[in-house]
Amino acid sequence: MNMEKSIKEPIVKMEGIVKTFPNVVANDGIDFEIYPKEIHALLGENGAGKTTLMNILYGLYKPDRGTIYIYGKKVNIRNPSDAQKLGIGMVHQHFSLIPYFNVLENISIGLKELKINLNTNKIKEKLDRIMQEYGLQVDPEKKIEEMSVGEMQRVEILKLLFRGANILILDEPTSALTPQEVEELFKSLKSLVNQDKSIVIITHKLYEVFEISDRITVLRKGKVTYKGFTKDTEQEALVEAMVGRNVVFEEFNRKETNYTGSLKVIGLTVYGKGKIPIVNKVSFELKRGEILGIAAVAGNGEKELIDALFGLIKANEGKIFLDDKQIDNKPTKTRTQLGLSYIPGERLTRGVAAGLSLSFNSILHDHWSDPYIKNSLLNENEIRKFARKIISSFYVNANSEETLAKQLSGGNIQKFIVGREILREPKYILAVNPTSGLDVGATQMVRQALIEMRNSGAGILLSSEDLDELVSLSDRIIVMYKGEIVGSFKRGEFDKLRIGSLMMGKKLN
Amino acid sequence: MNESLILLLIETILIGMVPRAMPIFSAALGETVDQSAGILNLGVEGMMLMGAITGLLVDYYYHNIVFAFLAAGAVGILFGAIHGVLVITMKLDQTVIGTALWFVGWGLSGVIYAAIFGISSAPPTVQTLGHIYIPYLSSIPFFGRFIFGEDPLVYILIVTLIVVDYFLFHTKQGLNLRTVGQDPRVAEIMGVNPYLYRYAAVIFGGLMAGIGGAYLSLAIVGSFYFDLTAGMGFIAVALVYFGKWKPWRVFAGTLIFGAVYVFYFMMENIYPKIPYEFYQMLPYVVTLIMILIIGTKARAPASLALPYVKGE
Amino acid sequence: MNILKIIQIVFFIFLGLLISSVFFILFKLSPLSGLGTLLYEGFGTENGWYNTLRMTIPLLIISVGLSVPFTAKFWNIGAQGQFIIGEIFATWIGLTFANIVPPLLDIALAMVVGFVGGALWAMPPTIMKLYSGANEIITTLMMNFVAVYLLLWIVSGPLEGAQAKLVGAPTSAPIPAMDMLPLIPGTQISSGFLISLIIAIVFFFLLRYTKFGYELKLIGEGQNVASYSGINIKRQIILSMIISGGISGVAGMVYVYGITSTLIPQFFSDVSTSFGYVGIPVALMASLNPLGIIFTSIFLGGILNGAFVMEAIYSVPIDLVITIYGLIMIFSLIGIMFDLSKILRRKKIK
Repeated sequence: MNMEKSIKEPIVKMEGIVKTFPNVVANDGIDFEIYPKEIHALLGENGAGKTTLMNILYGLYKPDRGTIYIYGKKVNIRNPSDAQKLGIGMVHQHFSLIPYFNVLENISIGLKELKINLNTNKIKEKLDRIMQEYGLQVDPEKKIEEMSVGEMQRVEILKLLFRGANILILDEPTSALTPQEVEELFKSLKSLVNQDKSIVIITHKLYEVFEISDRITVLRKGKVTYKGFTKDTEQEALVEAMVGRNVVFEEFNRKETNYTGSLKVIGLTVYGKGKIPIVNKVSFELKRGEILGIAAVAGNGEKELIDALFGLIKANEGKIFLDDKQIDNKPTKTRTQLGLSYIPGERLTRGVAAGLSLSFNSILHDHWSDPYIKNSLLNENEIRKFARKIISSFYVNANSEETLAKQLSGGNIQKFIVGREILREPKYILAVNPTSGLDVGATQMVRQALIEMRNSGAGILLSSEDLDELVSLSDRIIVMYKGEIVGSFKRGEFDKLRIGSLMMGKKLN
Repeated sequence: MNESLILLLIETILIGMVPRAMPIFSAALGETVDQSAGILNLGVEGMMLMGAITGLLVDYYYHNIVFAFLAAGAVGILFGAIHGVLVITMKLDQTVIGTALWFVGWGLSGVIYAAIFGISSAPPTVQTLGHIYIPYLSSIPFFGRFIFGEDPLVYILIVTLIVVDYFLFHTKQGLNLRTVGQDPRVAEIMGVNPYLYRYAAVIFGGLMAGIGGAYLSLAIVGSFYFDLTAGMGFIAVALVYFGKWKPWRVFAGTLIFGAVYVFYFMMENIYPKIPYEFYQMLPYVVTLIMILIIGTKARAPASLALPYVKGE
Repeated sequence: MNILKIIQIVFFIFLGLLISSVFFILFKLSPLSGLGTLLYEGFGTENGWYNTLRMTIPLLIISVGLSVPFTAKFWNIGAQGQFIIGEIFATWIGLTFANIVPPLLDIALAMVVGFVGGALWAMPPTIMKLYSGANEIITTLMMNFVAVYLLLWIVSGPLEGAQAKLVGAPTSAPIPAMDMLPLIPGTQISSGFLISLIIAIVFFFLLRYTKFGYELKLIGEGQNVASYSGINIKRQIILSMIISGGISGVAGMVYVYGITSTLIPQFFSDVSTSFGYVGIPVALMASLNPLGIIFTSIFLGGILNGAFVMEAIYSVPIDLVITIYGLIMIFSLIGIMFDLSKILRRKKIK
C-alpha cells in the first residue's frame, strides 16, 4: 500500500527451499519473503506447491534443502509448536478444529501458557480481550459443529492470535465463503495488518489478489515465477506466471437443446436432528439438455438435497420424478439403473473404493447387469474394457486398469470418477465440485465433457463452491439458503453479487 | 419372601458387588483412557489374564501382595507397550491386533501356569486381599460394610477414578489426549504429539488391565485357573461404550455387573430350580442388553481405531 | 498377489513360530527341538496326518465361513458359538430321527438344521450392529459364552445320554454308527474332509467371481462408497452372517457326525475345541482367500494336533497353541502390510 514498508527488512526469509514427495518435486528452490505489516498473496494453481511451502514454514514438513530466517536469525522449525513460538500461525483449508469441542476447549488444546489445570475462566478473559481488540466476535461456549464456516474461520484466527501469532498464514480462506463473508474477512485482515500483523494468503483467485494484497509471489510447478508489488502488477502478467501461457478461456459451444424428459422435484424435505428441516420444501425441474447450477454456502442443504436425489439419505417429504417415473421411494440402485449418475464431492471415501482396482471401481453402479454380469458371474473382460475406456478417454494417469485406486493422485481419481459417471451414459448427472483439485487442462476437459453431455441431452445438476464455474457452465442457477430455494436466475441474467447476497440470506430489494 | 430377607439380600449384594466389580472396573478405566485417545484395545482380556497369573505367582512365592500387584501392573505395561508399537508405530489394524493380543495373553497365562504348577495339579491358593474395616463406621447397619469395609485396593481404584476423571476433563493434558482421540492431525498442528499421548494411553490401559486381572486372582478367587477372566475384558470394553467414555458412568456400569455376579451366586443357592448354567449366562446376557440399550446413542471419539499417519 | 509377497508372508509366519518356540524353554525343551517335535507330530507321521486332517475338517469349514463377513470387514468372533449351536441342533436331529429315516436323509437333515442353528445364533449380533451400531466383536463373543453354558446345560439335562448318567461325565448319547459320515475308502479320514474341500472351492468362486463377493469387497471398503454404489448393505451383511453362522453350524454337524459322534461339553478355556477362535488367524493368514485357507487350516490344524501330542508326552499345555496363533496373527499381518518394495525404494532415494 505504501512504499516505506518495502524498505524494511523481511521478518521471514525462506531461501532455496526444496521439498520432494514420491514422484513429484513440490518445491524446487523457492525464495520467499514476508515483510512486516503486509498482506502477501501466494498465488498459484492447484499443485503449484503453495501449501507445501507454507506447511514447511509452519513446521509440518521438513524441507529437503533450504534455510529459513526469522527476523534475520536462522531457525530450525521442527514442528508447529516451534513455529508458534516464533509467532507463526496457520489456518488450513480444512480447519484444525474439533467439531465436538466448544471454542474455549479448541483454543486450549496444546496451549503452552496452561500448565495442568484447564482454567477456562482465565482463557475466557483473555479471549474476550482479544475479541475486543481485533473486533472478531464468537460465542466462547458454542460448539464448533453448530457453527457456520465464517464463524469457524474466526475461531481459527482467534486461536492464532491467542497464541501471539504475528504472522498469519491463511490457506484458501475464501473458498467456502459467500462474497459478503469474503468482504467481512478482508475487512478484518486489513485491521489486523494495521495492528502490526503480517498475513500470507494462499489463493488461486486473481480478483482477491488485487483487492487485498500488498505484494504477490506466484508459484508454478514448484518454482517462483513472479514477485512484485500488487500495485505494479498487470493482470495478464500474473496469469501468465500462473499457467505458463496466456490462457484465454474459450467460450463453450453451447447448442440449443430441445429434449423431452426431466428430473422433477416437488416439495422435497429432509429433516435433521430434532425435526429441523435441512432441505425445506424444495421444488424444481431439471430438463434434459440443460445444466442447472445450485449456488449455496456449504452447509445450507445443497449436499443433503443431492444425496436425497440419489437415495443416499431418505427424503422425509416430497416427490421426485425421473422422466415421469416416481423414484423417491426407490433405492439408489434403481435410480442408477434409470439413468442417474453422481459425481460426489468426497472423492476418496465415496467416489472410489480406494483399496480396489480401477476395473472394479469402473462398475460401481453397473455391476448388476449386462454386460458386466454374465450367467450371474462377473464378466471380467467387459469390466476391464470399460475401465480402459475411462482411462484413455479422460487421460487418467494409471499404469493399467488393475492399478488400485489409492495408488492414483487426487486429480487422477477425480478424472476417473468423472469419466465413469459420464461414460455410463446417464440421462441425468448430479455433480458436486467436479473440477476441484484439477489443474487447468483437466478442469477445462471436465467442463467441456459436461457441456457435451448437456448438448447431447443429459440433464446436469451442478453444485459448486466456485461461483465462476457455475456462471460459466449453467443454463439456470438456483440459490439455496437454509435448505430453501431463495432465488433463481436465467443465463444472461447472472449477477454474482446478487447471487452472493441470496446465498447469505439477504433479501433482494 | 418376607421383608427382612429382601433387605438381607440387598445388603449382601451391596457388600459383594464392589469387589466383584473391581476387576472389570480397573480394566474398563484403562480402556476409557485408551479409547479417549483413539485406541481400541480389544486385547484387554489377554492383558488381564497376564496380570492375574503374574500377580498370583509373585504372591505365591514372595508372599508380598504389594509386589504382586506391582508386578502385574508391570506386565500390563509391557503388553500395553507392545500393543502401542503394533498399532501406533506400525499402524496395524487395531481389531486384528487386539484379537491377537487376547490370544497371546490367553495362551501364555495358561502356559506359565502349567510350567510352574503342572497341567493337572490342584490350583495353588493364596490368601485373598484383606479388608479394611474402619472402626465404628463399618458397623453402621446396611451401608457400613459396603462403604467403609472394603479392601485397600478398592479405595485406591476409587481415587484413581477421581484422578482420571479430573485428568480427562479438567486438565490441559486430558484435553490434549481427547483431541488426539478426536483428530490427531489437529492435535499435531496445535503442538501436541499424538504418538506420545497414544503411547501414554496404551501404557495406562495395559497397567489397569494388569491390575484388574491381579485383583481377580488375588482379591477375589485367591487362585488361578485357565481362562480365569471368562470374558471380563470384553465386558469392560462394552462398559466403556455404555459409560459413553465418562469414567463415572463407566464405574456405575461396572457396579451393575458386580451386582449381577453376586446375584447369580446367591440365586444358585436360593432358587436352584433353574439350572445353574442359566445363572452363569447372566453377565453375558446383561452385557448384550446393555449394549442394546445404549445403541447408537453412544458417540465414540471420532478417530477411534484409526491409525495416525503423519502428513496425510 | 505375487509370489514374492507370498514368500514374504510365509517368512513372517515362520518368524512368528520361531518366536513362539522360545516358550518351550519353560518346559525344559530347547526352542528348536520343541518346535521340531511340534511340527513332526503334526505332519511327520501318517498317524499325525490323519489326526491333523481330523482337526482340519471343522477348522477349514469355519474359516471359509469367516472369510465371507471378514471380506466386508464385519468381524464375526462368534464362530465358536455358532459351531456349538450347530452341534446341538445336529445332534438333536440325529438322536431323534436316526432310526426312523434312512441314514443319508438323516445326514442331510442334520446338515440343514445345523446350518439353520448356526445362522440363527449369528443373527442377534448382526441385527444389533446394523440397527443400533453395537460393536460386533463384543456381541458375537458374548453369544459364544451364552452358547457354552447352553451346551453345558443340554448335555447334562435334555440330551444327557443314559451312559453318561452312569459315568457321571455329561455327554449326549452317541449318534448311531450307521448314520455317521463314512470314511474315505482306504483311509482313516472322514468324508467330512471332502465336504470341507468342496465348501472351500465353492466359496472361492462365491467371493472371487460373483456379484455377492464383489459387493462384500465394496462394503469392506467403507460404508460411504458402498451406499454410493447402490448396494443394499444391510441385506448383504445379514446374508454374509447367515452364511458364516450357518457354515459354522455345518462345521459343528460335521464334527459330531464325522469325528466325535456325541455331544461333548466344551468350556471356553478348552483350547482343543476352539475351532471358532482358531479360524480367525486361519482366515486372516490366507488373506481371506478360501483356496489359501485350505493350506492355512491344515497348517494350523497340524500345529493344534502336534500340541495335543506334546501335552500328552512333554506336559506342554495345549494353551501354547493359542499363544502361537496370536503371534502368527501379528506376524502374518506384518507380512501382509509390510511393503518390501517401498522400503527398498526409499533407501535408493536416500
